[in-house]
Amino acid sequence: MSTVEPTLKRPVASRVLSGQTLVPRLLVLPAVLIVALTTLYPAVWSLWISLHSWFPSQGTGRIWVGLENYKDVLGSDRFWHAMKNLAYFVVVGVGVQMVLGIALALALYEFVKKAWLRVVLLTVFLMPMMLSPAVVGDIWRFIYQRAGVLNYFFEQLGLPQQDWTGAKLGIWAVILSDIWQWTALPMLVVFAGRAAIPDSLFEAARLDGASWWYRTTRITLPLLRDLIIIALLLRMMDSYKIIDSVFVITNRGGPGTSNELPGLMAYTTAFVDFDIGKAATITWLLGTIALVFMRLFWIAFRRRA
Amino acid sequence: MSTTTQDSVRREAPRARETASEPGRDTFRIGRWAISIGLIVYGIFLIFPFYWTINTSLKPSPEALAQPPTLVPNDFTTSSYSWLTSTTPSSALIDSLVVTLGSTALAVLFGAMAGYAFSRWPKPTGGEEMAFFLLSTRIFPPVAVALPIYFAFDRFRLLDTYTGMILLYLSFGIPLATWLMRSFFDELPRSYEEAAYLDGYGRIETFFKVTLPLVAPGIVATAILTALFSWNEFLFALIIGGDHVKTYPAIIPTLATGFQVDWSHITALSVAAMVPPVLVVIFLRKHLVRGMSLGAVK
Repeated sequence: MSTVEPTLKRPVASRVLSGQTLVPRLLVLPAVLIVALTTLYPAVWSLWISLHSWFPSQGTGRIWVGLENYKDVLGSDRFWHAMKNLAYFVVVGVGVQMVLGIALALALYEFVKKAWLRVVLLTVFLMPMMLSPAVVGDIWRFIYQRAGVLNYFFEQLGLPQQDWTGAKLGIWAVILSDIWQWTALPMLVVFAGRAAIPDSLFEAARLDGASWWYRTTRITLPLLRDLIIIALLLRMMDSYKIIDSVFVITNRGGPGTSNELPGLMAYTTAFVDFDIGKAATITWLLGTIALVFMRLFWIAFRRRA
Repeated sequence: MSTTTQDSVRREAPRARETASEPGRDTFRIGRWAISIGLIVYGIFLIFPFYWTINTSLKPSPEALAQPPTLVPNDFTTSSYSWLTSTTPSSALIDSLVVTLGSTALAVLFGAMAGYAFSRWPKPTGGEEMAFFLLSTRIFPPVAVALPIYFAFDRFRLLDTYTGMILLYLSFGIPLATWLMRSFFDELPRSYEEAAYLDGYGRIETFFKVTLPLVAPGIVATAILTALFSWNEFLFALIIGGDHVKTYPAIIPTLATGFQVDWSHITALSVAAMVPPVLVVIFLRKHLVRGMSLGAVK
């Protein structure tokens, strides 16, 4: 049987599986079509519109302005201020989430040995991640408000009350809420990765008397490198496009435009100022940066794989 | 490593004692304390907003803004939860449910089809490159999509309709579902399908009777993740939604503008909206982790 089957199996399988082009293409068609319609079409549309001045609410038509919008946006302090806020968001916010997440995962794996306690803690840690950014934003906005509970605690401790969502602290308030919501992602990924490392790998190091710190930095973290990179990328991608929580916590990036992020700036430009040409310009700039970033990631990813 | 044999022999004895009673006892104990305290502090930071939300939702509206804030409701009431049954919040929650179920079902269906094709026929479908193109749409800022879609939907009368919302959420759900399903199909050995063909099953029969049941856990993980996205999505809901279709995240700002912010109502709605995701965490945590890491965690 074992001698006959392989010769029999191969032709049957290859007849059914390979040499087909129509069926697989039909299978991917709906997915590709919908995604193309909702990404390629907007990309082309935005590029075209970004070369025009267009205020539909004033009833005026589109006026060709060439690269004027790009000059306007790239020359405006508002845009670069928003980019700076975004940099804080991605570098500081995601940075803290990664460090904290890794530390929590290792602490949870190596120091919490009771299975039920682990499950309880993991479940609790996970919960914020499940919430709508609109809900998270509201919860924090309520905590942060002038007469809110955070200022109440500060008062009790004899500390000066703060304008948490004001021009100075607003972006940091949003970053804190983001840390609250998303630290669990790197934590879960690292926890799962750590649990998959066989104990035998640590035996030798332990017998050599290597310290916990040494084992962690020389064995655990290098082994988890790929997973850590994936978690980092996921968090960076999501932070890059964040709008919701800033929208809610700072009431659309306010006061003024002090706590704005580029995505939010595009939203306000489009749906508050109705300056569609300029909004399209911002989204196109953001989209291009995103694509370049993804491409680079893909190249790095393929090279390693 | 460079220690002489004598050294290692001399170290042998204390080490034996160390393993009997934990290694480096004092440092270990201090470290344990520090870590316990760290975990507790983080736990408080994590739980406080939940506690505060639930606490506020059980107060009458004026007490929610009382100074100093009350740590437990003075005047315990569930009136905010009764408010949830009134038209605005209840229809918002129902709209959310319809849009979530619709977009999840379709995203998983199309995603499973495409994921299967990408996995089994990489050549004619463009394989990894194409799957990656789909995934890369995940990084697009939603506004970049929202703006053109708004005008297109306006023309085709899709604004403020279930169809429009579901279609739009599909554009985010499908890439995710395709990527995840592809990774699940990739892990499924082809020999199962080959065995089915040998037994005389047709291609479609094999897919439904053999392949699909085997990737059921993957389907659960994919469905959870797409459903979470649709349930929680805010920006599109705000832009595309209107008087007819308005999911719950979109009505929150309408409750919170102006000088009269009814925090009891907002927090009650938030608590209600948390229930389905929290149930998912409690009962389907394993699947969730898999999906959240885009299949990187096995």
